[in-house]
Amino acid sequence: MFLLGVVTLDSSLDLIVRTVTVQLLPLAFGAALANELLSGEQDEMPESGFPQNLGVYALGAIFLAAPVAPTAEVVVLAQRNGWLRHGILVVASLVVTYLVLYVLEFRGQSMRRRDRGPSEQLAQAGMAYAVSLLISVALLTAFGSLGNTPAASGIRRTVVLGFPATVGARAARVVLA
Amino acid sequence: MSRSDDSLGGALPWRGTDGDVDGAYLVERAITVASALLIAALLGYLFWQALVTPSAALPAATVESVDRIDAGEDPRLLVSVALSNHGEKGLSSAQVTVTCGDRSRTLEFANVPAGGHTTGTVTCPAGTDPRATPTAWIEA
Repeated sequence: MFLLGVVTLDSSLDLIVRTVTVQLLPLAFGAALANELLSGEQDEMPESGFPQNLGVYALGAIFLAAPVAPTAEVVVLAQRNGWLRHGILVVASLVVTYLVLYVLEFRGQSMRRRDRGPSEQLAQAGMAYAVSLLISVALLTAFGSLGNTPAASGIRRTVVLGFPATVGARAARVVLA
Repeated sequence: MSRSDDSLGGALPWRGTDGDVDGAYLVERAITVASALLIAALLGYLFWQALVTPSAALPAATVESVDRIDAGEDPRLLVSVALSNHGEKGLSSAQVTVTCGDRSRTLEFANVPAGGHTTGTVTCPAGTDPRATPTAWIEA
């Protein structure tokens, strides 16, 4: 929520506690679900190669970003946050993608790391994020959020929607292949 | 120096098992490079904007066009007004006052994105010189 500008360093403790409390139930549910579905103790699945991996990234990104794309939250968050925060959001999306795919021991990690050096792993994380960005542009265009909008605003909205899209992309990579 | 297919064919990643060029590998490499360029361009743009965009620039209102409407004995001017937000943050609402001689009109705008603009229209009496001024705004 700090990354998205919902909570800032200037926010009162009261506001932070209330905002976090509202999010606790869905976050706890998501954590439990992830522990059940994505933990490294699950059976390993064969990893899909190129170009199937692009399809998996796109499917996951659409699954998670499509319900978010037509909402006003994307516009509001893009409008509220400054350029620097958007840049940090891009970096965070990339870092978390890399961590989920290759570091945090989610299901299938050993298969994903096999025969792949650090540069190859970074390239895969970058590819997942690039696919998420393209899906975000497509969804925003389809829902009319990019029409008659200055390019700068369109880029900010794409970065904001790219965050949940890339969560979906890497989750699909872990769950599906 | 020329490379020998016999000596290197099977060892290179873009060579298939039969020594042919692996098209899928090359396409994957191309997409990887395109992804890296896209991300680098995006990051460069975002951080460049962070450097050059003033954090507290005032919004600006301008008269974009004035069209005369002949409506019998009461001719009027159709005045199109643009509000531009040059600041780093969007405006959740803004108010623009359009002065038409000794009369004034007020336009209310909502959700003006950072670096964006929006337009509105008012009518003024014919023979006046409309001027637009932003008078109030709330940052998002």
